[in-house]
Amino acid sequence: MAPFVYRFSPQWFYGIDIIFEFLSIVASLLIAFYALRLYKFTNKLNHKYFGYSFIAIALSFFIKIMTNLVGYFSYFKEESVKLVTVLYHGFTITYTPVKAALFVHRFLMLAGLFGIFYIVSRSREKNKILLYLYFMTITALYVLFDPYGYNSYRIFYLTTAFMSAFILRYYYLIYKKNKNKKTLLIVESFLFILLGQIVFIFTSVSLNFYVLAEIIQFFGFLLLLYNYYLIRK
Amino acid sequence: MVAMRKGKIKQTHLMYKANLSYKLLKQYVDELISKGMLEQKREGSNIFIFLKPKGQEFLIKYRKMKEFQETFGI
Repeated sequence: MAPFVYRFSPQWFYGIDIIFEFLSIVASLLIAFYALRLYKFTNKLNHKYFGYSFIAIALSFFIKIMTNLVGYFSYFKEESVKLVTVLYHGFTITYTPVKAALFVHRFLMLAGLFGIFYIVSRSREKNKILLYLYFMTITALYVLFDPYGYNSYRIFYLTTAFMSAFILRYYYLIYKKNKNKKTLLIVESFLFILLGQIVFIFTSVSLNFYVLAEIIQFFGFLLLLYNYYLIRK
Repeated sequence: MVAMRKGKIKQTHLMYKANLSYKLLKQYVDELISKGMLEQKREGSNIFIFLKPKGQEFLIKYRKMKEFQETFGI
């Protein structure tokens, strides 16, 4: 049986990616709670779903942090003990929860992005939505068959890249209409998030792409956070 | 509208500017008075509507929420 290798990050980057993702959680939760506050005031379902979408993204990042911690912890365990049997035990203990966690992480991220897309696009065509939901579920489910391999990893980031591209397109259309500088900032945020997802696909070529993708994606969420600050100040 | 007039407007002016009937205006103003956002005062022969700090605070929050809604296209 292959050893437990859910590690797509270079060793020196362990922990730094967790900080980036923690800040992305903060940005997502702030936006989510403000949207839910707006829902309390307006009673518009769009606002509620928008809030839930960002909560899904925040939860997805949280689960990713947890699975990364398990991966990094098992790495340090291997390094310090250097016993194949210990590694084997570590693998059997963590295998099922990590696999399930990876599925939930991917499903929540896709659901979050889909939610944003659904609201921003204002597309209410049932067939289209069902098709998106189908691809989203298949993409997330793929992890169960290839939990620690690059195939499911690549397909997941390819799907998030497509979803980010759709969201980016709609925000650009909104910006063209309202010419609001803050909407332009959201366009830029999703542009960085999209670029991040594209770079993640190349992690199998070199782990340095993981670092680059994390930085680009983090910059996207940082811009979202800055935008939130500009609105709230 | 009250805020645009530096927090003070004649009741009749407000009625015309908002294009509301007296009955409807009274209904809205009474509700906002009961929530502590506006107050009504008689100055000479005129009735004025004043924006209270709570109303001002609400307006600021409302504008931010509107901005959030427009910026995020929701």
